[in-house]
Amino acid sequence: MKSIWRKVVVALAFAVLVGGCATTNALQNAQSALDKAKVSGAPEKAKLDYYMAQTYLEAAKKEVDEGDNDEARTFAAESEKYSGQAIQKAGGAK
Amino acid sequence: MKNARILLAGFIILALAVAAGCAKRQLTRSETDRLDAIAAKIAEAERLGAAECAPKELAIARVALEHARHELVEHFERAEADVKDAEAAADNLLAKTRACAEAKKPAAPALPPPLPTPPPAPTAPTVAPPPPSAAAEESVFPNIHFDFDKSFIRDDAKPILAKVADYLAKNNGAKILIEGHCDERGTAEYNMALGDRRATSAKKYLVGLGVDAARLSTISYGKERPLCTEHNEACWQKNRRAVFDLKK
Repeated sequence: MKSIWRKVVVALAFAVLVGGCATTNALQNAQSALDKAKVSGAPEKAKLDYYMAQTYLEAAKKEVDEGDNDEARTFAAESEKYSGQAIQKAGGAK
Repeated sequence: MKNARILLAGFIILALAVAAGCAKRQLTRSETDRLDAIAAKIAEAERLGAAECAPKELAIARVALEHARHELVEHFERAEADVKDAEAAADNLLAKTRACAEAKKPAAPALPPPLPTPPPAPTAPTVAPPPPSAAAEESVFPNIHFDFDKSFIRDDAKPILAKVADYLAKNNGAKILIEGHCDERGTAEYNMALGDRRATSAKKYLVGLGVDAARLSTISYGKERPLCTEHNEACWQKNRRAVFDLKK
């Protein structure tokens, strides 16, 4: 019986750890893409896409604070997508 | 054995709790109306050039709306603040975009294009009489139409409502009576209520675009004033409508 509990605890800990890591990675990727967009001149050349990326990233961070990792990852992915568009419109990463 | 049962029961309770936590709720009509009103403001701002005039505010409003919708569906208990944030963001966006659009207007404006005026009073028909309400139906704005047994504002109606709102913004003295109509199916009582919901839905959308509610009144004619009297879907679709009756 003891071993079953141990397995359950290990599995839960693993799930939490993996979920948390995935969210952290998603946020880091989104931040990195936003930084690239900034360097590429997107704040001037692709304003709307840049601000969409920035606002989605802020929303993703807020979701992490609220404990909603799924939504945080969704927003982070949107942020990354808009950063990509912003970079493209600004003429590519520098 | 006993421990295994307790463990199983624990798992079932945990699974139920997780399922309940993940369950998505349906939005109520008033919540949908609020979100639609926010979306309408954002759409109006986009039409006025928000992408150029206020890109940051547009981004904030769009994301705030999406966030509010998500919170309403999944975390209803804490959604109110997010909906208010989205409303404030949309108001701010629209105000800034309107100011920008005004500033961009040419300094020495030519006379604006003639505004629509109400048509002359219809003359009595000499040959074949029109359908029951055709004469009264003429309006300076096109009618908007609804799905069967529904009163939500369809996408094809939104540009028309934007024009109505724009006209009212430019003509301070104008008021509009919104008529709600239905097709022939269903009882007279039911259709009277449905027509009222349709007129009210159009009114709420216009208020969401910034029109003063005091300048809008509604009336339902249910199925009493059909535009078309045939018994087929094409005809019913024409009858499921809201009409904008301009009062100067």
